[in-house]
Formats: sequence, C-alpha cells, structure tokens
Amino acid sequence: MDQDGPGRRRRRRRQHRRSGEDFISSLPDEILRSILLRLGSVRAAASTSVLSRRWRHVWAHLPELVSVNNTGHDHDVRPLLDTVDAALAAYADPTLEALVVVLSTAYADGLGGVIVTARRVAPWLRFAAERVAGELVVFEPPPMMPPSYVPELELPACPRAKTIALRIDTFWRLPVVKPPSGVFVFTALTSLTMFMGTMAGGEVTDLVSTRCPCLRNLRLCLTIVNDHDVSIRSVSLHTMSLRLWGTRRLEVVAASLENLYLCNTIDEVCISAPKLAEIAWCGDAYYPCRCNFDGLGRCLRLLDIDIGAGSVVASLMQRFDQVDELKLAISIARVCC
Amino acid sequence: MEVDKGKGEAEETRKVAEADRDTVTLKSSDGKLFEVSKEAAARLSTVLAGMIAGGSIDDNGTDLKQIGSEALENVVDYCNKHANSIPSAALISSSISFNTAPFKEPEEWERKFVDRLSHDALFDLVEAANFLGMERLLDVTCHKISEMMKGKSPDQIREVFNIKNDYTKEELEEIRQELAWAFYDD
Repeated sequence: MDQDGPGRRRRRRRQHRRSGEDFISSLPDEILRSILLRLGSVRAAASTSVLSRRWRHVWAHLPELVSVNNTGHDHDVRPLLDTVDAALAAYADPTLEALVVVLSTAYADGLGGVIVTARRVAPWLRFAAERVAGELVVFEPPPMMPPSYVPELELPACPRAKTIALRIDTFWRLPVVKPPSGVFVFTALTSLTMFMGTMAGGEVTDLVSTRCPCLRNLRLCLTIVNDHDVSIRSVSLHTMSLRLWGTRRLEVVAASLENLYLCNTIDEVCISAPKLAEIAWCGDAYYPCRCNFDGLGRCLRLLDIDIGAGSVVASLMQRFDQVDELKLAISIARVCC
Repeated sequence: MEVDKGKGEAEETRKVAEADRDTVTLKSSDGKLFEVSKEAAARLSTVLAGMIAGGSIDDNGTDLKQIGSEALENVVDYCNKHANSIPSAALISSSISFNTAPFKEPEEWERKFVDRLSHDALFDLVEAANFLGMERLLDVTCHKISEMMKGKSPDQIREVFNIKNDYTKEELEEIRQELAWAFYDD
C-alpha cells in the first residue's frame, strides 16, 4: 500500500471529471496492483496485459502470486501447474511478498504420480529461494497410494522468508551450501510447517536447532529416516506441533516453548521446556518411564489428551497437580453380544 | 527573522484549543469545510495522523488542495461511519496467510458505502484515500474496482473503464501468444 505520503505520486488534478474518461489507467501502479491482487487469480491479473500499453507489465510486479485451485476437477490441475510455471517465468520483480500455490485434495489422483509433481515443484522452490521475502506456501494434494519411490527435493533456502508451509510428499534435503558462504541460515523465518514429507533425523535437528534462529512456530508432520533421533534446541520457539513417525528418541530443549502438541509416535521423549503451559497429547501411549518433562512444574494452563483404546496415556494426568483446563477425548469400544 | 510575539502566543493558544477538540476541520480544494472525528481521522489516515501529531491542523479548516468537495465529503462520511462502527477483524491487514482468507472482506456497511458511489466518485475517492494514506479505505475501494473487473473479458473491461486499446493488431497478437496460459479458456 502506498504509504509514501502525498508528494510522491501526485498527479494531474482533475477538478471536473468528464464521463467517458479512462480514470483507472491514470491510477498509480501500486493501486493498480492492489486491484489486480484482489482478482484472486494470477491468470486474471496477467490477462489485463492486453488492455492497453499502460497495463502491459502491471501484473508482473504483483506483490503476491496466488494460485489456489479448489474446484475439485482433475482437468483444472495441469493448467494450474502450467499457470504457476508461466507466471513465475514472466514475473518481473526481484522481491515477491508471497508465493502461494494450493491444490485441494479432491483430485489427488489427477496429477499422474508424485514424481511429476516433485519435479514440477523444484523450479518453484528455486524461484522462491531467490525472491520470496514473506510467505511461501506450496500445498500439493496427498497421493492416493503410497508412492513406491519418494523423489528428493531441496528445502528452498529462502533467507528472507518469514513463513514457509510445504505439503509435498518428498524426501527433503537441506540446501547444499557451497563455500565460502558458510552455513545457510533461515534468518527471517518465524513459522515453519512441513506436512507429508520424509527427512533424516539429523537434518531435522540441524534445520531447527542451528538454521532457524528466530523460529517461533514449528509444525512438522514427517516420516523420520536414517538416523532416527531428533534433537530440537531452540530459544525462540513458542509453539511446536510434532507428528514424527519413525523417531526413536526426541529431545527438546526450548526455553521459551509454551505450547506443545505431540503425537506420540516416538519411543523415548525428553522435553526440557520450563515455560510449557499447554500440552496436547495424542496417541496410544504415555509411559512415564519413557517420557521425561525436565524442569517443568506441576501446573498447566491446558492439558488436552486423546485417550485411545490403550488408555495408558491417562497416566500423563498424574504428572500434573493442577490444570486450568482439561480436555479429554475418550474412545469407548462398543461391545456387541 | 523577526517573530511577532503576540501572534505566536495566539498561535499557541489556538493549538491548545485545537488539541482539546475532538473533531478536526478539513477544507476541500473548492473551499468547503468538513468536520471529522479526530480519533477516526488519526486512526484511518496516516497523513491526517501525522498532521494532528505535528500540530499542523488549522482550526479554520486544514487545506487539502488535492481533494475536491465531493470526494472529501465521502472521506469524512467514511471516517465518521467508521468512528461509530464496532471495530472488527476486518481492520486487520490484508496480507495473505495460508490458514486465513486471502483478504479481509469489506464489511457490509463498507460495501454499501462504495456501492452507492458513481463511477467518477469512486475514482475520486480512491485518489483521495491514496493521498491521505488511508489503507483501509483503499482496500475497500480497490475491492470494489476489482469486483467490477472480475469475470469480464478484456473487451468488457475496456468498456467498463473506458480504456483505449492503443496496441497494434500485431502487438496484441504477440502478447496473447506470450501469455497464452492466461487465456486458455477464452
């Protein structure tokens, strides 16, 4: 939005407008972009190029490129992928505030296999690494069938991105760093969400503990492979939601962490988070001997437990003396005689 | 430079009186005066907020030479309506977030407010909002203009906004080919 005050964009004052005059074309670029952005479609915005010379390149400097397709029709998917490719190729500004590509899950099988998708996504992520300064969101539909081969993708090294949210079924690799640039750091990143992918435990540890110095919100829903231990050490984290399959041991050392959602798919959990006030626990089991809340008092603001059929998790309640709010989800099996 | 002391004191007194009032007076390019809630003006316009904070508000009407009386009347009307409406989530900035709606939609009264405007008045208001740094009003007016474009062919858009096509036939064909992806269902 134009916050530069009255001087900068002052234009010819029309005391008396005449009907039939083209008012819109004389608006400043920022406002035209703001109008095009509200069309909610990159294609619609780009098609204004043909209106007149004035409009030729306005769309190519939009602050946000958003492609959200939720019609649920298979035949809309490929054009949408093509649209994203073409829009990124034609985009003219060095900085993009937001790149948002969301494919709804309704047509998961319309993509012709996850391998194609990962390959198609790779150039978008490279583009994002160079230009995205705010928000990067790429949500692919989950595959109908578990893929026989999981393609690799490099996590986009976006030093300027504040939010990254990815739902892509891929084997994530950390960005390869070439000397002399040293260790790559997500300097501006405050919120990271990764759904559906696979990652090595050591790389998750490296990513969260050493490369995201101001990360506040972390949501991971990943399959952990190779080294099965994950260690999260962060002074900036406030909220964390983890659903990690295949993890043997999870260690969390987070001085500012207040809110934890943990789906217990992990053999051994060791959490050191003295400010923890809200815990949501999901999964069949909580074994006090295998889960350690180090340095945490016996009071909580919220305890949200999903007691599965196993019901061992109820013993988590015994860990605390006082809870302001308790939420219990209980499954009771119906017994048919 | 010699300063007229008496005048300076009067100026001071006037400024104090001004600071005590809860409205400010704005003067359009054609000399008409409008009263607006000081709180709303400061909240909704970065430029007016700066003038109020900097003491450059004139009791007899702060000159806004860039804005005609019809547009200023709409600006003032909008500010005063805003002062009386309950603040809501719609005031939150319009930035896209993946778990929220792309834009905070205009509220019902804001929609009605811009819907009743003539084509000319709408564009005068956009310019005034831009001049005064009124982000929310710009959002609302830009939303209205984009609604006027939505679902229309380039020809229809040109007609609605009186845009003159200054391309040659060849240029137009070239752009259409270059941006074929944007026209695939035309």
